[in-house]
Amino acid sequence: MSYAENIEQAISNCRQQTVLMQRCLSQGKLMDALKHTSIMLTELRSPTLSPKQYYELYILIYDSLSILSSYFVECHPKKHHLADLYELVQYAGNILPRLYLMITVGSSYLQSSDAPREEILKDMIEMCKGVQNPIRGLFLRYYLSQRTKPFFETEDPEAKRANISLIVANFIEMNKLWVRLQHQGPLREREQRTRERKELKILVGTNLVRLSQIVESDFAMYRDEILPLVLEQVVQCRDIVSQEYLLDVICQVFPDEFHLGTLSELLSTTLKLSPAAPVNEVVLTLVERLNGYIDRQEHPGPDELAKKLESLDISSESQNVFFVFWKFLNQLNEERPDLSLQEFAPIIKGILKLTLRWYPDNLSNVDVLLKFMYEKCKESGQTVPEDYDYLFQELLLANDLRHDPRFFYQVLTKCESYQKLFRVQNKGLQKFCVNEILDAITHADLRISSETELQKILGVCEVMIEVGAEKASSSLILDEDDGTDAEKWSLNADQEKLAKIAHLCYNKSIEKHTELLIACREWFQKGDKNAKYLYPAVICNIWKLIRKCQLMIKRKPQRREKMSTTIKQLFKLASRTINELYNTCEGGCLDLLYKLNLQTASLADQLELGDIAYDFFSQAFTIFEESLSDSRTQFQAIVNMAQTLQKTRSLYAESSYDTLITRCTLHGSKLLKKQDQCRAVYTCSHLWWATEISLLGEEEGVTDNFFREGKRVLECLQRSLRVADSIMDNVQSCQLMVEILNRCCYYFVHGDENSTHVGTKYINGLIELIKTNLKSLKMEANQGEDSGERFFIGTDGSYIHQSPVNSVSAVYNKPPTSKGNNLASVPIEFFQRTLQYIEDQKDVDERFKAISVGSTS
Amino acid sequence: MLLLALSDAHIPERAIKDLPQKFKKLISVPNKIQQVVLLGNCTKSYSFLKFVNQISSNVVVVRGEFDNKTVAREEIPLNTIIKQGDFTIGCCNGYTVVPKSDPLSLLTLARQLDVDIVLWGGTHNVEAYTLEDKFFINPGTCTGAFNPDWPLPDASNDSTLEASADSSEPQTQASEGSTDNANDATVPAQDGKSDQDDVANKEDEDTDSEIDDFEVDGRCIPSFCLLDIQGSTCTLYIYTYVDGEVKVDKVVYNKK
Amino acid sequence: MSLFFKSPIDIEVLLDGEESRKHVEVANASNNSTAKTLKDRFPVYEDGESVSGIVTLRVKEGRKLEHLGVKVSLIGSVDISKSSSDYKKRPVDTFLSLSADLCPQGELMHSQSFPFSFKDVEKRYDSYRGKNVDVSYYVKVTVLRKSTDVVKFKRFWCLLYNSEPPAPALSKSSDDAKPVKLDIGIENCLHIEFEYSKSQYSLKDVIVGRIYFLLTRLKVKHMELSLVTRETCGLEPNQLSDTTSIRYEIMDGSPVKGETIPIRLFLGGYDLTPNSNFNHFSIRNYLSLVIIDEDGRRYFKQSEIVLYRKRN
Repeated sequence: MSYAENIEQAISNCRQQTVLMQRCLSQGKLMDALKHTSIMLTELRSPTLSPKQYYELYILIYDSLSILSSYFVECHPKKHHLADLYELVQYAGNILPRLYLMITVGSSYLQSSDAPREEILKDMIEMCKGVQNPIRGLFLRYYLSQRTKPFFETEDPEAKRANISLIVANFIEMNKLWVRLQHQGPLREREQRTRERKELKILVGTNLVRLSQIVESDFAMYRDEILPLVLEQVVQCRDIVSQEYLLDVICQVFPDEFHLGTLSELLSTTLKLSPAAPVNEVVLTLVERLNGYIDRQEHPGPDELAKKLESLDISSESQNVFFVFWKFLNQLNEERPDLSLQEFAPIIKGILKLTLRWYPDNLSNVDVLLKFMYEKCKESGQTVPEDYDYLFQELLLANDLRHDPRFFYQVLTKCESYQKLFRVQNKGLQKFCVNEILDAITHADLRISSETELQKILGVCEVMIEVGAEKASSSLILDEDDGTDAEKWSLNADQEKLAKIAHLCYNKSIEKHTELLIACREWFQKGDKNAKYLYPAVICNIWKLIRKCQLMIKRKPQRREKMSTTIKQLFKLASRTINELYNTCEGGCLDLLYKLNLQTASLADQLELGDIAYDFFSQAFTIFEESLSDSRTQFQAIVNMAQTLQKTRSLYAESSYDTLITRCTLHGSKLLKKQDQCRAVYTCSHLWWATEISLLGEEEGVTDNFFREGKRVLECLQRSLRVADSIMDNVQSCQLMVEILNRCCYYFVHGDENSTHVGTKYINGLIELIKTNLKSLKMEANQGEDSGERFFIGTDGSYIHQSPVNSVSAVYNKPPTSKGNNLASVPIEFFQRTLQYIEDQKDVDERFKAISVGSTS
Repeated sequence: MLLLALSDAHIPERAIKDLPQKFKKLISVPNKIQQVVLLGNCTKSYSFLKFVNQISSNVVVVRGEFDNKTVAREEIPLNTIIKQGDFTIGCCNGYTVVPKSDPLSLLTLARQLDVDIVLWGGTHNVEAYTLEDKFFINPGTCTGAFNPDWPLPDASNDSTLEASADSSEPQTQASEGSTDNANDATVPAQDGKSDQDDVANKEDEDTDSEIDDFEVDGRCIPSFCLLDIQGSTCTLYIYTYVDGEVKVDKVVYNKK
Repeated sequence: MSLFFKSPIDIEVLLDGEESRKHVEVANASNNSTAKTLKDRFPVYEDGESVSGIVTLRVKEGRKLEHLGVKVSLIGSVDISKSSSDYKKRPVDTFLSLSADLCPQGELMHSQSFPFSFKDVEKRYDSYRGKNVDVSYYVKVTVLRKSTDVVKFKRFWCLLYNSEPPAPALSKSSDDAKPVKLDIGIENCLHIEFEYSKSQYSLKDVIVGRIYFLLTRLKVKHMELSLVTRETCGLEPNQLSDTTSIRYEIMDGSPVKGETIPIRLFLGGYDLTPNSNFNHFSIRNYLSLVIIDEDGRRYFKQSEIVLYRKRN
C-alpha cells in the first residue's frame, strides 16, 4: 500500500476512506471496514510530511478511529469478540497501520470489564517499539497515550503503580524518539530539526502531565517511582532541547510541595546534564516555581512557611531551601569547572532571587552568594570582559535586591562581598551601576546616619567620584567656550546624583552629622575639578547645621554656650570647605565661591556673629578683586553684594559695615563699563538706606534706628548721574538718567528731603536735564514706524527685544545694530512712564505735587 | 493659556528631589501647560530640566545667583519679557534687585520693562500682590529648598503674617498708591503654621534633639504658581505643599 | 481424452459421511492465471483413518457393459513436473497403493453400487499442492475392459497431526524448547542479535521473538520478517525448487544501538505447509529477517524452522 504525495491528497484520501469505512460498518462488514481503515492509516506512513502536516493528518485520523472504536465497543461481544479482533488486526502486513488498529482495538477492549487490562496495556506499549521512526513513533505513542488515558484513573495503589510504570515506559520511549529526531536528515538541516522538535514537544510532555494527574498528591510515589525514572531519562538522553524542556515541564506540572521535597534530586540532576544544557534556566525555572509557591500561600509569613515545610516528608536539612541551593552551587562549581562566569551569573542571580523571596531579611545569604561570584571573577582572570557586563549588571542591580530600597541599602552597606564584586567590574559598568544605585537610594527617603555606612556607599561610588581622563558620561555636555574666567560647567547628571549623597547624611547628633559631612567632603575632594558640583551640597548642609544650632539655642537657651562653640566651628568648617573648593578648582568656579561666601556671611550676620560675617564678606571681596574678570559677572556680583549687605544687621559695630559698603561702592564705581559703574553706584546708594525687615519686627515709620544717611545716598546718585552724563551714547545716557530719576522717586517716597536729601528741587532739575537730552533723541525716534517691535533696556543694561511674533523676548548684551532707530524710543518711553507715575502719585501723596513734570507728551 | 512659574529648585546643592510627588502629578499632564518660566536657581539639575522639558518645550529661563552663565549653550539673561494675551510679563530672579524683594524697587523694574506682571524669585517665599495696577508674583521654591536668608519666624511670634487676606479677592489687597502698606498685601499662603510649632515645641530632650528639617530649611514650603491667562484676565493659582497635602489658592488679576 | 469419447459408464465414488466431513479448499492446480482463483474442495482424512465409501456404477439406459472386473484402489503418490513450463506432473513415486476387487468379471446390466472400505490406512505424508510437486491421495476405481479401462479418481486430502513436533531432522540440538538465538552482523556496520522463542511451530502457533540491535550504522528504512516455504524435488542436477513467502513488516524506521524490537507473527491466519521430507522431495520452512536500508539495499538472514500441524 502506498501513501499520497502531498498533504492535501492524503487528507482527501483519509476522508474518503473514512466514509467508506463508515458505510461498511453500517452494513456490518467489519473486515471491509478494517481494510478501508488500513488504507487510511497507510497515509500515516508518509515520510514526506512536515511535523505540522503530520499532526493535521493525525487529528483527522484520530477522529476516524474514534468512530471505529465506538463500533467495536458497541458490538462487543455480540458480533465479535475484541480479543479475537485484537489478534486479527495483527495480520496487517505493515507495522504502522497494524499498531494503530491494534491500539484502537485494544483500547476498545479495555472498556469491557473482563478485559485483561494490564496485559493489553503492556502489550501495546511493547509492540510500539516496532516503530522506530521518530515522527511516526511519537505520534503512534501519543495515540496510545490518548486512547488509554481514561483507563489510568484508579484508586488502588497497586494499579496506580502499574499504570505509572506503563506511562513512564511510554514516556521514556517517546523521549528517545524525540531526541532521535534531531539526528535525522542532513546536518545542515539541524536547525530546522530543532525547530520541528520544539513543535512536537507537547507530545512528550503530555506523559508527564498524565503522570501528575495520576499521582495526585501521593508524594512518596512521586519521589520513589516517578521522579527517579524520569530524571534518569532526562540525564541519559543527553539532549539539550529535551533536558531543558523536560525539566521545565517537571517543574510546571507537579505540585510545589513535591519540588520542595525533591529539591536536591532536581538540582543534582542538573549537574549531570549535557555540558551545553542551560543549567541556569533550569535553576531559574525552579526558583520561579518556588517563589510562586510563596505567592500561592495564604499566609506567606516565614513562620507559616517553616511549619508547612516541616509538615512535608522531607529531611530537616532540606527544609532550608536556600541551603539546598547553596549546596548545589558548590557542587556545581566542583563538578563543572568548565562553566563560565556567563553561565554562573544567572544561576547566582536566580538563587539570589530565591533567597530574597524566602528569607527576605537574610543578608548573609546574599553575602555568601555574592562572595561566590566574586571568587569566580577572581578565578577567571584579571578583568571581567565587557561582554559580560549585562550579567553583572543584572546581578548587582537585581530587581529583587532593589525592590526594597532599605534592603538594598543594607546590602550596599553591610555586604562585604557586594563591595568586592562591585570593584572587580570595569569602570563603565561600575559607573552605570552607581547611577542606578544612587537613583534608588535618593528616591527612597533614606538617611545615612553612620559613618561606616557612608564610607561604604561612597566607596561604591568611587568610580564616579574619581575623574579619569575621559569626559563626563552625561549626554548633555555643554562646555562653555567662554575663556575669560575659564568657568567650564556642564550639566552633569552623574555629579548631580553624587552631590545628593550629602543630603542623605543625617544624624541626630550635630557632631556626628558634621563628621558625616566631613567624610563626604573628603571623598568629594577626590573628584578634583568636579568638586564644584559636589561641594555646594556639603556647604549647604553645613549651613543647615548652623541653622539647626540656632534653633536649638532658641528652644533651649541653657545650651547657648555649647551651641555657640559648635556654631563657630561649623563656620570654620564652612570656610575651610569653601577654601578647599577654591584650591581644588582654582579658577573654575569663582562666581560660585563668591556667592557661597556671601550667603555664609549673611547666615553669620543673622546669628549676630559680626566678625565672622565680616570675614566672609572680606573673602568675597578678595575673590572679586583677585579673580572675577568678566565685566558682566563683576557687575552682577557687586549688585548681589549690595543686596546682601543691605540686609545685614550685625555689622554696625566697629564700623565694619561702613568699611564694607564703602568698599562695595568703590568697586562699583571702578567697574569697566561706564553704564555698569553708573548702575552699580546708584544701586549702592541703598546701602546707606536700610529698609525694614519685617521678619525681624522692623517696621517703616515705627522702627527709628534704621541705618540711614541721606547725604551719602544723594552723593551716590549724583555720582552716578555724572557718569551717566559722561556717556557718549545718548540712548544709554538718557536711559541711565531715567533710571536715576526712578531711584530718586524711590527715595522721595521713603522720606522727606531732610532725611533723604533727595528733594523736589533735585528731581525737577533731573527732569529738565533729561528733557533737554531727549530732544535730539526724539528726532530720531519719530522717524521710526510702529512695527510692533519694541525694545527695552534691562536692569543690567541688556537689550530686550520684544517682537510681535514671539511670546518670549530676545535678550542681547550689545545693542542690536539694525534696529538703531527704535532704540531711541527706549529712554523716551521709559521717561514718559516715569512721569506718568509721578503724576499718578500726586493723587495719593501731596508731596509729589511739588514735582513739575511739564507736558508729558 | 497656562504658564507655569517655578523658582529656586536648588538641585542638587540644596535639594534632592525635583518636586514633591503630588506636585509632579499635578503638572506633568502633557500638552496642558504651554510655557514654563524658571525664575532662577533651577538649571543645575539634568533631571529637573528634563522634567521641565517634558511639561512644555517652551521654557523661559532667567538667571539666579547660583545659575551658571549659560545653560544648553545659551546665555541665561538676567531679565526678560514674555507676552501672553494682553499681558506683558517681566521675569527676573531678583538677586540684583536692591533692596531685596522691595516692592518699590520691583515696581521700578516693572516700569522700566513696561510690564503688567512681574514674576520674580530668590526669596523661597511664595507671594502675590498688586501695586500700582501691576501684579507681582513670586512662586517661592518649588522644592522647599533651604533658604539662607533671614528665616521666617515662628508664626506664634508674628501675627501679622497670619492676617492674610482672602485670596479670592485680590483686588482688595492692592494697596493703591499706598506704598507703605505694600507688605501687608503679601499672600503668604502659609496657614497651619501653628500646628507645626506645637509639634516642634514638644521637643525638650537635652540631647541634640530632633529639629524638624522644615525649621532648618527656613520654613520654606514647596510651592509654585500657575498663571491662566485669558485675554485681559490672569488667574493665578498658588500651589503650596503643607504637611503632605497640596493647597491651592486662587487670585484673579484684570488688566485695566 | 474423455472429452472426445463419451464414457460408456458413469462411476461415482461417494465416501462415507463425505458431506459432514471437514474439507479443505486448495487453490486450483493449474498454473493458468485466470483459473488461479478457483479452488478445489477436498474432504480431509487423517493418518490411520479408514477410508470407506460406496462406488456406484451407472450404465447408460438400455445398454450393457461387459467388463473384466471392477477394482478399487487407494493410492498416495508424489507427482513432480519436469520443468516449470510443463505443468503436467507425473507420478514419480507411489508410496501407498492398496486395492480390492469390487466385482468379478461379468456384465453390468443396470446401475449397481459396491461398498468398499480400507481399514486404518496409514498415510505417511501430508497432502500438498505445490508448484512442481503434488502429494496427493485418491481413491481410484477401475472398470477393467478389453478395450480401454474406465477409471475414476476421487481425491481426498490428508492432514497429518502431530501431538509433538516431529523428530528433528534438521536441528541436531537435543533441546528444542530452547529459543533460537542468532548473532549476526556486518563488520562495523550492523550487529544484531535475534531470538525466536523456539525453532518448531505448529501451524496455529505464534512466532514470538525479538531483535536486539547491538550496533547499527545502517540507515534502516524498515525491517521485515519473511516466512519462506521451499519445496525441493528431484536430484541434482535436475533438482527443482520453489519458494513461497509471507512478508511481515516488523519495524519502521531506524533503531539506535540498544534498541529491542519485538517480533510477533500469528501463523494461524496463513495457509502454511508443514515440513515434510522424503526421497526426492522436501518441504522446508525458513524464517528470514530482512533489513532494507534507505538506499534500498536488503540484508537478510534466514534460519530454518519446522512447522507442523497440531490438533487444536
